[in-house]
Amino acid sequence: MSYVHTTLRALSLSVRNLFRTPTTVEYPEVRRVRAPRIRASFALVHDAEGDEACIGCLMCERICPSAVISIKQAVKRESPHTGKKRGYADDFTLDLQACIICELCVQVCPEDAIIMTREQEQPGYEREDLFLTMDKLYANEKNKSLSWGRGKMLMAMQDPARPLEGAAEAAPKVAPKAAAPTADAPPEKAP
Amino acid sequence: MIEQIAFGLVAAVLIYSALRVVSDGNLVHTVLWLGVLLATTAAAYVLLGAPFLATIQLILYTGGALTLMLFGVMLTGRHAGVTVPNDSRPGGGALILAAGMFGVLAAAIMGTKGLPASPYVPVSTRALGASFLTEHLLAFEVLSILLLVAMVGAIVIARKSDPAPAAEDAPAANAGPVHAVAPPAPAPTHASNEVAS
Amino acid sequence: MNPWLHASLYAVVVVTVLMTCTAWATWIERKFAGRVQSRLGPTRVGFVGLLQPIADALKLLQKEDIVPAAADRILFNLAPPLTVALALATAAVIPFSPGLLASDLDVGVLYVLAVSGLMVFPVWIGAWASNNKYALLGAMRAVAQAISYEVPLLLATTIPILLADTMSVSGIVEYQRDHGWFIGRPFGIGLAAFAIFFVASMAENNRIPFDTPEAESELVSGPTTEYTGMKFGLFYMAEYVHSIVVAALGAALFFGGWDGPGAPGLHWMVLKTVVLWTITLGLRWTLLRFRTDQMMNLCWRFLVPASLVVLMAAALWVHLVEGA
Repeated sequence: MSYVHTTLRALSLSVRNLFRTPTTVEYPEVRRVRAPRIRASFALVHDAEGDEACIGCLMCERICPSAVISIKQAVKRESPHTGKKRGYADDFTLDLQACIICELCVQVCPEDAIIMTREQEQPGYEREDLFLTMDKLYANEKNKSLSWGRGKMLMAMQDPARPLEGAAEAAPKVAPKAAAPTADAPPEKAP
Repeated sequence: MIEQIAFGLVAAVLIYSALRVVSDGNLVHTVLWLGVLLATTAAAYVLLGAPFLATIQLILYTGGALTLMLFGVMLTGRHAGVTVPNDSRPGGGALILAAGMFGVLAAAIMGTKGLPASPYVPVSTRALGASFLTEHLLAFEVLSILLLVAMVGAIVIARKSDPAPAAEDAPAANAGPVHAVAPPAPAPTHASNEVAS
Repeated sequence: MNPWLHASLYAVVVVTVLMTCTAWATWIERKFAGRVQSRLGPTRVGFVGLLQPIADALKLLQKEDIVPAAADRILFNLAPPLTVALALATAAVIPFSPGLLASDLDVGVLYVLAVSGLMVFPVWIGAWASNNKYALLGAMRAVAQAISYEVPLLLATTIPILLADTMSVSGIVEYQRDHGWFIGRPFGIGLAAFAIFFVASMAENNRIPFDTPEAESELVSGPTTEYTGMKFGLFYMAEYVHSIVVAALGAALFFGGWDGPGAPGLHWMVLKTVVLWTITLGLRWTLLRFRTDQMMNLCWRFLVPASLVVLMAAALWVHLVEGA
């Protein structure tokens, strides 16, 4: 008889659940709030003078554990903005399919050139669409919201010897609740 | 008129499936044609005005006996894949014998007096049940006991025999099980002795 | 009207309505399952996913039809439509309203039990013809489950027959209209009989928790392993049709069928069928699957003795109280 009792209790749980609001978030009409430091995709940025920040030092290419970054170093040339001779990257490709999103490339960049973005969406129908080429990476600087972590600051946070100079300006520019609200569900309970 | 056509159809299917039962090369197909035969017999019962018997035929024969036969064929036949070869097909002698039987039965049926004019003689289920419990009660009870005996016998045969402990049974009477149990006992200790040393 | 024409017309109507109801029953099932599991069901195809069954049908139709090379082609192709045919044939004797009955058989209840008991055969045939050990194993368990649970099912359906003194389903419904529904009237007997009928019919139908044959190998779907596309869709349909017909039968035998005050008979019948079907749905999405030995245990050591006891009680009632 205890079987009947437990069955009825289980059934009452089902019925109660039947009348509760479901926890589904109907993506893509409704998007969950993403954490300020969530790592999703990549962007190459321009520096304060308006020039490309990437100097083609190949540090990110070397440190990537999955070897997804390929850079073609350019011959050092004069910068149109400052007039000084500096390095450039002629071609920068990042294969998003094999990336393990470890953020090591961001951490080692001495110029804060590469930075992760908080939105992933880069859908495509072909594999070639998931290869982030240089123009796509520079386009991501504007059309995706950038993550909080930048190279110099991340290294400074890990290494007590380095000055935390960039930390104040690099405080989270994105307020956590700024994105579209979800249906009454807390963001950390991912299904 | 409709009854004639219906009967003709049922008879044709019956004869064809009966022929396939005895002559198909694949045993599983044989049993399935038997299923068709039994289901068509149920249709024949409906035409004869016995719907109760027809449904009982479906439940017991097609639902019960056929399951048994299918299991039997499948679990005991030698087969590779879906073809179970049928080794016994009718030869010339069987055909002559069957023709002779048919002649004898047909003569007996045609010669019987007092058969009803039309095949459709409905008997209500109520009358059937009443006759089971009044007129044919002895036969009914004897059949029930026969079925019970068959069930109990099947259970007894199918059950695995328990190895009885030696103290309980007289060794002379149950020499088999005791002997079966006794020899393995010393062997493991032997083996463990060898392994230890 | 010519009885042949009458029967054919009813056949077409009943089959069409039943297949449509089955298609949207899958929608109800998916939404219900979703809500019980705290999620939405299908939402994309049409308003709240109402066109989902059509999408499913189209999906199944355009799938590749694979017949294994060493399979028995004729039997393999024969099994799915035969299952659906048998499942639909059981609906012939269910009275959906006082005038809406395809065939008023005198042995209606027995006919339904006979035909639904035959339904296990095409499943077995399909599994054998697939030439697949695991399908065959699933089919053996399905057959064992089906033939075991036929015993308490038959015994439990004998009780309304006994109480109403007729085997025709519409006769039983009319008796309940005059004397009260069997779920309450012989106190306890009708309820116990219904409980046994309910559990046994869920087991006959291979619904969870009696799901062992289908999900026995977990992800390899038992007897229907080798079936793709619409053939698998037909097996799936047959299961749903059978579950709806059994719910309708339960409503007719124990809950008075189309009997009810105020609304026309058809509405009451549909309401009762839907309520019973939803209860099986609730149980399906709540309970865990039984092991084979637990299932056999439940049948032979609990349901069969219980149904025998209830049958004796019903017979005593009929003899002593009603003086029959």
